[in-house]
Amino acid sequence: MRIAVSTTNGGLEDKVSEVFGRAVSFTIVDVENGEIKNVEVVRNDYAVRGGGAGIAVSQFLADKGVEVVLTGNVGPNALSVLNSAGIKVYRAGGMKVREAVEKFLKGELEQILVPGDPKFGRHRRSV
Amino acid sequence: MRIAVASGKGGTGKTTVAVNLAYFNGIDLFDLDVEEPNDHIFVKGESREETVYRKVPRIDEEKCDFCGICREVCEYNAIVVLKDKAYTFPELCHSCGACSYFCPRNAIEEVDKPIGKVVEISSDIKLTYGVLEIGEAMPTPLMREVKKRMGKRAIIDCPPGTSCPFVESVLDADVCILVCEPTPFSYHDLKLAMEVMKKLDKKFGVVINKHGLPFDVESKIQAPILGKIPFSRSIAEKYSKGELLFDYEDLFREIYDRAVSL
Amino acid sequence: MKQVTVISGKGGAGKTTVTAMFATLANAVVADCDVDAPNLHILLKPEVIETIPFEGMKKARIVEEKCSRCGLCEELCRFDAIKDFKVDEIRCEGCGFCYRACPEKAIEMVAEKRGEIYITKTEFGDFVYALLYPGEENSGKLVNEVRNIAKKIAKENGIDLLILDGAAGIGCPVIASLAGASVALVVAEPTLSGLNDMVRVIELARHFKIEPLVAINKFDLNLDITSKIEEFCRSNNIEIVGRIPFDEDLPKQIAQLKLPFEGKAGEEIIRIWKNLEEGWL
Repeated sequence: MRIAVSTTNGGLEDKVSEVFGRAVSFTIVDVENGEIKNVEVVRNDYAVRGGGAGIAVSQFLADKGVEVVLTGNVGPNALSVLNSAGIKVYRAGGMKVREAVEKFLKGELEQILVPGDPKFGRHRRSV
Repeated sequence: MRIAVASGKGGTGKTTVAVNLAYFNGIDLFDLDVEEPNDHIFVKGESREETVYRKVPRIDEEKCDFCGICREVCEYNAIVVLKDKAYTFPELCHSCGACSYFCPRNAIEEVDKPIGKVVEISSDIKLTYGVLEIGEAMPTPLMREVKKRMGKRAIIDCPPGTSCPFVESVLDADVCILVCEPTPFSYHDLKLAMEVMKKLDKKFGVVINKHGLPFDVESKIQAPILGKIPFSRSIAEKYSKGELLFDYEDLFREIYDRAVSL
Repeated sequence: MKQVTVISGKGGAGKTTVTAMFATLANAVVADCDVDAPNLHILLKPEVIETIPFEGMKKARIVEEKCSRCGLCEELCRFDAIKDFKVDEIRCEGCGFCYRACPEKAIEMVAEKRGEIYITKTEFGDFVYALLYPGEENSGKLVNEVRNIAKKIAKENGIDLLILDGAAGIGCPVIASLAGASVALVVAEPTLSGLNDMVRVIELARHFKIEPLVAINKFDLNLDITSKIEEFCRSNNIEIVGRIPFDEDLPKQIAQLKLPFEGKAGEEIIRIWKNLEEGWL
């Protein structure tokens, strides 16, 4: 199973990043029989774009065969793309990557489910 | 002559100035703050509405082979292409037309998406304003629709801020009036707005609103001062009730004359 | 790392006034995330230690030597940004359509400095703010960079609290300023637009699982709408952490850039801060 965790410096000892779309990097962990078999850190090049960073990153992770995402927070647009791709998302903010993966495997993490329609645009609004 | 009324900082009195300026000089008024239009509170009459659209892509999944070219050419991440699904986020789309142009299978059609409405009010003067639909991220396409209805004489009430909606609202103006209130924040934002004026090569003057507040802007402003509206409780009350400032009719005629001769 | 983000929905509700006062009371790194016309630095009077350029969205530029003047770009551009084989930078929206369509590959997409980030020290501690150049697009990118820098400074100095002055509205800049917040303090203005905006920004905070707290500013200017705000909070289980009275002396203090503020408004803000510290931080 391939798990992607939003991170900053990356790696198992780093903390899970609070943000998804603009996370500095993703730590991709391959798990087999409940054990971590491979760890890869990829830089998030989509963080530097304007709006829709989360949407772009989600497709990137889907292309990489990721099945599960662990992160602090994820926006409604990114979440809907992850869901369309069949990727499940779990809340793991404030933990170290290793701990987050272990807790996920034990079924202790809260799943982030589909929100309502995306309402929020990219410019300042005061309506 | 088209006169834009702007400020930088919100809450300084753009609407107060724009509405009274238009009314007492008999000029049509255009409210380009399409996210939070307020001018219609002051100008009441028979109204006519028209829904406005912009083009967004619709992907025909039967023709689509998920090649992903549309996703590649979209700068705004408004198109999602997965292994077996392709769909769009219309609210992120800028309606540039690139995706349908580059699709090798002709699988993308451009369809109308409502972005809001343009409303025209007929009263002693005509008011035209836009109301942006909730969820629509960009005010600029709707602002352009409102602007299409503008003739050679107009007073334009601009949105706050100094970023692109403000720029869009002053682009077609001949002259700008920047409204400043005597506070350090307003003065700071006035200077930013003045930079945009210089960048766009626009003639402008300043109106000081709430004159009497305890911060000196008058001596600092390096621009012609077209008029000063006093800080008064009765003006604030009339504003909160949507009333025009009949006691200050002469002042608004003077401001107009000075703006026109800049 | 704990984080308070001060938001409002409505511009002019008093976020910056409240945040400035908090800065004088807290041992925290403060950041102004209202990058389109920032105001907090006016009150905090910072000494700039470092300036970092901000690169925003790329815009099109036609390379004259390669251009064959076929006119395709002008035809395709939906924003009237190309005339006489030149790109009008102000109208260009950076969509890249012309760049991709040009048969001579004569158009390039150029990134330029579209703002600046300032790392500073103030009388009250470290402070980070930024200025987005007038006329530029305001996505969450610059806000995100400001926040990341503030966080880094806090970590380096062993400070575990960030206070962010958020942007107005509910768009991407606000979302970016809410990322990582432990508490979202919503400054509510007792006017009809203020109430409307407050409701929407609370919805936004809740979506990101950040518990919103409300402080009503100048509450006694309109007791009718203040009670509507209280009613909304009651029925939605939102705690009101303070009611700041209208203080006619405050504009004078702001005009004189006198921090910390004195008088009944200032005192209530102090009370709100102590309330936050004890209850949520």
